Amino acid sequence: MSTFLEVRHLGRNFGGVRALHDVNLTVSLGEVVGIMGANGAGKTTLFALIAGNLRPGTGDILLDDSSIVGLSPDRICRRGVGRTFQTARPFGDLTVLENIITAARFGMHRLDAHAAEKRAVLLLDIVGLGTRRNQISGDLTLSGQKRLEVARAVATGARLLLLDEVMAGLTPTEVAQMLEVVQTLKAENSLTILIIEHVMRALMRISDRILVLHHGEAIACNAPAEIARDPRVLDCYLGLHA
Amino acid sequence: MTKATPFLLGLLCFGLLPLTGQDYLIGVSFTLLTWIALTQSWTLLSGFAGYISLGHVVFFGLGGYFVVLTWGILPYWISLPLACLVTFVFAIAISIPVLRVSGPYFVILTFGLAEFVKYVVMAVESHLGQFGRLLLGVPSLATLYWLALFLATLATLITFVIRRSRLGQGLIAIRENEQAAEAIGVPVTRYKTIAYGLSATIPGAIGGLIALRTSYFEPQQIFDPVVSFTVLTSAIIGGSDDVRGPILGAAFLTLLSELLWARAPQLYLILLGILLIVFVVILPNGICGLLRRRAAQA
Amino acid sequence: MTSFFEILTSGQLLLAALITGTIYATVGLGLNLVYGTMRLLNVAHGEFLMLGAYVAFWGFSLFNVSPFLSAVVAGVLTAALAAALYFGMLRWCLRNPRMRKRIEPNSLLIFVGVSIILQNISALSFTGTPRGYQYLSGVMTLGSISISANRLGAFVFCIAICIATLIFLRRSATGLAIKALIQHKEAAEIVGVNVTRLEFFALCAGFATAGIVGALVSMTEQTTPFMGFPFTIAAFIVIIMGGLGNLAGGIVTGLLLGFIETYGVAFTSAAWSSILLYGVFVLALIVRPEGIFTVRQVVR
Repeated sequence: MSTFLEVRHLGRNFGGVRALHDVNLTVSLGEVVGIMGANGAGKTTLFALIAGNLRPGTGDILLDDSSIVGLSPDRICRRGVGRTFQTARPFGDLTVLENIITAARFGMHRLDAHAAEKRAVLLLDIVGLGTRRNQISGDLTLSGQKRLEVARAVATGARLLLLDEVMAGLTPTEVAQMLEVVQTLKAENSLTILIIEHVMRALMRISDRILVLHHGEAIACNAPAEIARDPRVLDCYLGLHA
Repeated sequence: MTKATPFLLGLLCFGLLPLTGQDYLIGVSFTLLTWIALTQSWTLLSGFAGYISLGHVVFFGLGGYFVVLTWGILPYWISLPLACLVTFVFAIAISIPVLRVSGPYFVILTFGLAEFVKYVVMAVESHLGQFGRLLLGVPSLATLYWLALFLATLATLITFVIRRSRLGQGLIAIRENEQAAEAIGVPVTRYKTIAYGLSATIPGAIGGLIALRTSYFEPQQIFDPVVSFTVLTSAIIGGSDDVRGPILGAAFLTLLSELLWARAPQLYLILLGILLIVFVVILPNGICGLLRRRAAQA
Repeated sequence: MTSFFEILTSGQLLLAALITGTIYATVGLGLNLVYGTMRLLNVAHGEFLMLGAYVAFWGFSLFNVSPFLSAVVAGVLTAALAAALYFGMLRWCLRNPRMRKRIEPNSLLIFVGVSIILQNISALSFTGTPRGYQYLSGVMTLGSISISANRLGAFVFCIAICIATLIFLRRSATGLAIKALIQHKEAAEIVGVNVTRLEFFALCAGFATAGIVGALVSMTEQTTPFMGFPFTIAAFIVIIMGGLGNLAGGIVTGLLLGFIETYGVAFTSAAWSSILLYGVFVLALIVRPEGIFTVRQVVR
């Protein structure tokens, strides 16, 4: 499988705090890499660096073999990166449909109004918001907003999807629903996915590999089964040897 | 074409007005048209992108100053378009630092900037030994009226076209959530700069028109912050999400001003202040927003 | 034309700068209290100052009351006005979840309205004629420095306010609670701070400061309905450059601003005072919207 995203020796400080240090990651096309770690481990910083919201202190990020460091977030989006935010950020006063149409008109494909609407309707049906098309997005339930976030990121034509805790705050049923949505979207749009999650079940189920961050450093990157057995991971999470 | 009918009718009415020879009516309509043009241009950045400006007068004033400075050297049909260019360039020039600031700080920044420019112009005028300039040989009211009508129509058209364009959609996304807009590929910096520049253009000519109408120029007058305040209140009362809002708002305020200004200008402003507060608190989308909601519920 | 050197070493100018700076610092203090606790961007701050000035003017002209006494009255009146605003409108706004989300930009626009209303009510009631009066205008001299007694009095009063506020915030229980509230509202609530009551107190105190300074300033400045703008701008420079909610940093910034303005005008001319003030304001907003003295992250 070809390398799609490569993170090399990535580091970023905030004043005296080392948010990320010497993180390396290679993601193949079509892979799903889960990212786990305690709060403050550097997960969202990693996403912010890839998506262009932050500049790395050290290291490089390569998408499709070309560096995306220093590009603005909108240009990185146009290169094929879509992301969701930890707290949902819908275009609150716009309808659900308008949210997706806007994303489809920008992003990588930049569809015209007509094509954008068709794509939007399609995506909304996949994520289960088809019937709520004309609802004001600010009025959606949490589950609805989270699914809207995902649909919007995919609507940009993204090939790399960064999912930031899309299951947070959802009930077990909604989590299962979201898992299904993500898997369907992945299949229909040939996506490569990086997913930050605290909901372990979901993470283990969906990931091909899991990257474990601890205090800004990558302490393991392996298949879920190996991670569950990894002594370093167990140490950090359960304090077995501490 | 039914949606356009009220506009075309209005245009016809405005167009036929000078034929009545009623100078008072023409004067009031002239004022109304200039407010429409100012409010429509304000909407481009402040309404669509949500970067609310309390300093719109700075473009108005600079354009007016340019026309006044070149009076006698350039004919008005050259100096007015040039004034537009001057204000456009000025806006683009300052856009980089200014648009980095957002939210309420942008509001007070625009105010501070307008005042700053006002005091600079006052100092320049004082240095040049000028304490108010008289303009001789200004165009007739009818000429100024036609120009105002042209500019108001143009401003409305521009707002209309942009609202439906990708630029407009991007600006609205920026208003709703700038970070999310950036994440979906909206070139936020570029769009904001374009909107800011465009919003500055027509006010430049309007400033020139007003200077010619009063045939008198004084920095404190033409850079009066009440102009910014009126434009903002106009847009909030009328609603700024589509082209009807600014027209409604401007019409409402012009009517109010005609009723009150001659007798009690302070009362007019007090009322404006009250209206601003009421609309911000209860009807943030203005009259148009209310109408739209009623239509959606029906 | 005095020389560069003479300007730099003039004790007279130094005192003038200190006084102006202290006044700015005190005005900024009030705004900081209001903004730090309630996140309300009060652009009408200068108008409350203006009201205080009128209270002192009428107090002296009609009843021969000392402006220092009027300052107290002014403080009470502006605090009452603040309370009226709070109960009449602000409390409803803050309770409404939709409005609460957009409280910062909305409060700004609301206060723009308040500002216009206050200016024009004053213009209507008192006319736009500039008002002035003579009180304690005898000049005192110390060496090469001379100062009018009223200006000295205002200076001392403002210093007292600043010091008293800082001590209050540092020593008293309520003061500590306010500091906690400014730094992290939710955390303060959890540890039992009565947030609503303190916010209200800070609001009234903040506005009262404006009224008091207005009364003091009326002794030496001309009182007009539109005198408030420069003070509002100065107050905003103080809170932006001093760090939002950072009261001590604000005082330092106020002093700095006084120096910039006084010495700036000395090197150029009086016409430049507004250019300087607004220029610094614009720069402050562009360069450091987070504040130069912000050390801690103010969490909301």
